[in-house]
Amino acid sequence: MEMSLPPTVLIARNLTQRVAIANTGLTILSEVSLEIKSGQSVAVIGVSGSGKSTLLGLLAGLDVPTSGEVVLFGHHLNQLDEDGRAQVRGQHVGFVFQSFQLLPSLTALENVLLPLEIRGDDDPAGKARAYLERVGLENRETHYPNQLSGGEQQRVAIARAFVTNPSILFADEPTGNLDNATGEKIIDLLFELNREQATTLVMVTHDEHLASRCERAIKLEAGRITDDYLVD
Amino acid sequence: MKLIRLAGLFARREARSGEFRILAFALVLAVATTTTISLFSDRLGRALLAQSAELIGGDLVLRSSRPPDREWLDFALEFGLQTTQLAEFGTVLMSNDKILLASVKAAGAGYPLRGQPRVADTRYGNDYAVSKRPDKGEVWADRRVIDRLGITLGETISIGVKTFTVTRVLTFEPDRGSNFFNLSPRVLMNHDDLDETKVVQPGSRVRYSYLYAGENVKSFADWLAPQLGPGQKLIDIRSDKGGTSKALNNADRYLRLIALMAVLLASVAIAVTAQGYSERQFDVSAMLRCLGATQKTIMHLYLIQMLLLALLAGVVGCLLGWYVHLVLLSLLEELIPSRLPVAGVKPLLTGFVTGFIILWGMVLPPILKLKQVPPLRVIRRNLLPLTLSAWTVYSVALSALLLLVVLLSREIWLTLLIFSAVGVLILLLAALVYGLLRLRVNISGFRHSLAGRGMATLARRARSNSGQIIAFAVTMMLMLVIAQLRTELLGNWQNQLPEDAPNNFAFNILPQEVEQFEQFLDQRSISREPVYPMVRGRLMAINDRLLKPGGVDPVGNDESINRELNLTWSPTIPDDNRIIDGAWWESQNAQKDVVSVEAELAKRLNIKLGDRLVFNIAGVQRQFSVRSLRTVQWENFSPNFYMILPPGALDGLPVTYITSFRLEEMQRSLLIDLVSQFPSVTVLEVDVIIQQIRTILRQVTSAVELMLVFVLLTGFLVLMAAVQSSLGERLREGALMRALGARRRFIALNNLMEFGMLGLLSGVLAVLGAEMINTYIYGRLFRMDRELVIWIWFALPFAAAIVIAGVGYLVTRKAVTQSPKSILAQYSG
Ligand SMILES: Nc1ncnc2c1ncn2[C@@H]1O[C@H](COP(=O)(O)OP(=O)(O)O)[C@@H](O)[C@H]1O
Ligand SMILES: [Mg+2]
Repeated sequence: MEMSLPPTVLIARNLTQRVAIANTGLTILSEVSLEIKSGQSVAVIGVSGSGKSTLLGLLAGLDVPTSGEVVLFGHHLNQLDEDGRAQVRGQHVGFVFQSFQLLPSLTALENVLLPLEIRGDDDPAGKARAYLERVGLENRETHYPNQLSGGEQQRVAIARAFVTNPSILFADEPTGNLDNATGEKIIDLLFELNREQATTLVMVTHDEHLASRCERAIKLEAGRITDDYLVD
Repeated sequence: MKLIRLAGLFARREARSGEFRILAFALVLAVATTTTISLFSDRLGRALLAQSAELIGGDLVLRSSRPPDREWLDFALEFGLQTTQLAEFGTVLMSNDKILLASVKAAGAGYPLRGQPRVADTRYGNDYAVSKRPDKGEVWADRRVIDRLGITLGETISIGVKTFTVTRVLTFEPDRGSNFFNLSPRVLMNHDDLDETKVVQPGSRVRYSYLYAGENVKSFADWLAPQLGPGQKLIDIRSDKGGTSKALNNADRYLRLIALMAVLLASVAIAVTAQGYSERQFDVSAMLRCLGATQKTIMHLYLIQMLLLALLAGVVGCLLGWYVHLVLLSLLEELIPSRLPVAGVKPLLTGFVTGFIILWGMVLPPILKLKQVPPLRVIRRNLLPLTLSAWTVYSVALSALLLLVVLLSREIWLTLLIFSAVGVLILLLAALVYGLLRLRVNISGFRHSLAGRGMATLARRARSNSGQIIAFAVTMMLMLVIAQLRTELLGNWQNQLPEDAPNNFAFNILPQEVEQFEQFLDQRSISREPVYPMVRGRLMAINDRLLKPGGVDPVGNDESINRELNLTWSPTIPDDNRIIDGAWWESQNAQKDVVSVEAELAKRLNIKLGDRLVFNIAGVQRQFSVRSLRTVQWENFSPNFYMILPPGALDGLPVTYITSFRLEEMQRSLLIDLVSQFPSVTVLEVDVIIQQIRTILRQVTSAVELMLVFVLLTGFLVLMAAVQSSLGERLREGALMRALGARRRFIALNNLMEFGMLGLLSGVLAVLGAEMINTYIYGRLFRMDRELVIWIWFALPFAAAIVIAGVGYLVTRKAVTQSPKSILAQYSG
């Protein structure tokens, strides 16, 4: 399976997303097409409201476009039903969000365990511990999210994202809720793990500096790609 | 398997949250209530049957006016039944030179079958139960026989041509039937002596009974019934109900009603909580979807949690219910035979199932929504799952409630009627509340007042608040109904039997003795009822319809026409009788040929106002037309009459007088003086019966109060659930307002006013609803009158406002004391 992976892991063709507000339609994305190769790190940049999160949601199969299509690891996402997309996500995809999105009633360890339990992995506890240690939180296993700082919470979220060895990681403004110093450390950690596991990375950010750490940047303006370049 | 572990983990983690605790607690309460009442009712029901059996002396009784076929006794053995026979007749007892008219019962081998006679070894000795009949040559006689004949135990009396030794004082016969006004002195003898007395000759008036007991009485009755001839009838334990079983049945009905309300309240609490719980799980569900969980996985995860919860609540609730039912039984200890039948499994199962039904009806619909949460919610927080159609939600909830009613109620249709009334009421309330909240109160002065501000805040959250108002209103409404029922039900019972209720009846007071008799009692400060004249008469016909005793139609079989009725006259209506139709005679010189008839008898015999009743009074036929129908408090131990006539209506007919009076323990010996001074007067002591009824009242009261604790607890749960469900929103809003610079006092006051208005509004609605339900329950279910308690109408809304404002203030205090940042962080996720 791993060996036969095509070099292009993600293809988007003519993605358009429209929502109905009152009586008029609002176009959030129009005619977005892109291809992402395995192992590549891609930043999606643009001002707030330009449609970055919407694009990320479509690429990750969290939502379906009004028109156009997404092919993720050979799966035509719009041809699958929600459960089919969920399975693709569970198999290939990891997520990191701006607001961490940890389950407040679960401990740090249990949060990391969650995707493994859902997939039904063997020895989930061992793997989860290893990843929590990897992000430097080995002695915070039994702490609940509200007992952790923002940076610590995002570390737990990163451990949760990588624990399933995803082929592609989607990150939506992962440092948006953190101060600069903490954000920097989080990004270091993210790229480290990304390199170790040769994960494809798609990161949404409005931070040019952050984007410059990726191999490639795609610029969105008002729902259209206006620039797509390799970072040197 | 892994899913179960995950579900267990979730459930364990959730157990720390307030919502989950309310859910679990409400569920445990509902299960416990159901279990308690089902167990209690199950065992009580069996005990009642046993008691009825005691009252007629067997599980089945054949009554006959001539010697029944001997084979009917022997053949019962084939059915595995135990049998005995009785012969009862009136005869003259002789001792020394005195004679006395008495009623004698000859008991056959095997007596007693059900219940035990009680006897004493001296005239005033303590009595005890025995399981036998008198030996041959011996009789047991009651106190009246002993007093009248002036004998002591060990002396002899003759019945017919045979002489018997009186060996015991008979104080109680189990098979006396419900008619404890059997006036004659009584003697119990051995059936084997009967022939030797030569009293029973062809043509003598004897009541023969065959008594049967055992499992198969029903099939035996089916075999016997077609063979009965005229003057013969079968009585089973359902056809003869004594006063105790009526009271217990009423208690059981009432307890059931309370239990049902407790369960419904618990359902309300659970529904409210489940709603909030589900909404809080939206994020969890979205995250799980995001991590690859399919809809099925998510459903399984929550369903397993629900099942775990139901199992846990089922076990804990059943245990609790078992314990409480034991307490309930011990509270009603003296009413219930000591050897209670073991409880079946069914009541426990009923309780256990309740938890599942409630979860299914109240929790499943909001949980089902979780399946639909779009995963995109992890990015866009405001995305909500498609809501299930209101139709689905309500029909699921409603069907669960119906199931509960069916499980818990004996009178399903009646209860369903009540609950559909409640349902309609709730819909009306919902519409009203919603309308009220949407109504912009535009009186400028009001808008800026505190109350106006509370109202405005209420209106802003019209949807969630109307839910809360309805929950509160329904809760208070049900509690109000129960509380009022309790007060009035118990009050009613107690009023019928005041501390100083008469405990002795005196019959056969001769006209010329009345004054002396009154003096005798009054001089000794013995409290008494008025002395009523009494004439015995048999009802012969209603209009042109002849009443034939022992006939096949139900009217012909009615007790009241198979014996003489007591008629009296009175210028005024007795104190606690009430006219329900027609009118009382106003003046002394009104018509003489009218009669006032007791309402239940009138109903049984189909007697209407204006009907002509023909009586045979001492051989003379007299006609009266029905002037009024009247209710009578039979249990109050005053002389009561089926038929009352105007003064003068019975002039010239043989009359004796009757009264009842109260003797204190110390005054007991006065009876001897009384009996010797008025030898013709018959005194009947009813202390035992009064004691029994008083015990019932006391015990039923405590039982009812115990069950009310459940209702109170569930009511409180609803309050907590409703406040809790809005907690997050309120805290967030409070924190925001403070972040925007609002003063603590302002926010606290705002919350207080909002909750206050909420309480006031729901209190008003509760009073309205309770009034409607009460009218219905009193009119249809218990058929009693009730007094309107007007002050409640005003007190309740204000009390509700204060309590709810208080609880709300306490719970939302955080909004004022905790730092805005920590709240916003916690509740905006
Ligand atoms: N379901 C929706 N309904 C209405 N407007 C939406 C919806 N989803 C996105 N938008 C709008 O689309 C625009 C792009 O949103 P988003 O993708 O979140 O931008 P970004 O992540 O770049 O800030 C925003 O103006 C947002 O308000
Ligand atoms: Mg965004």
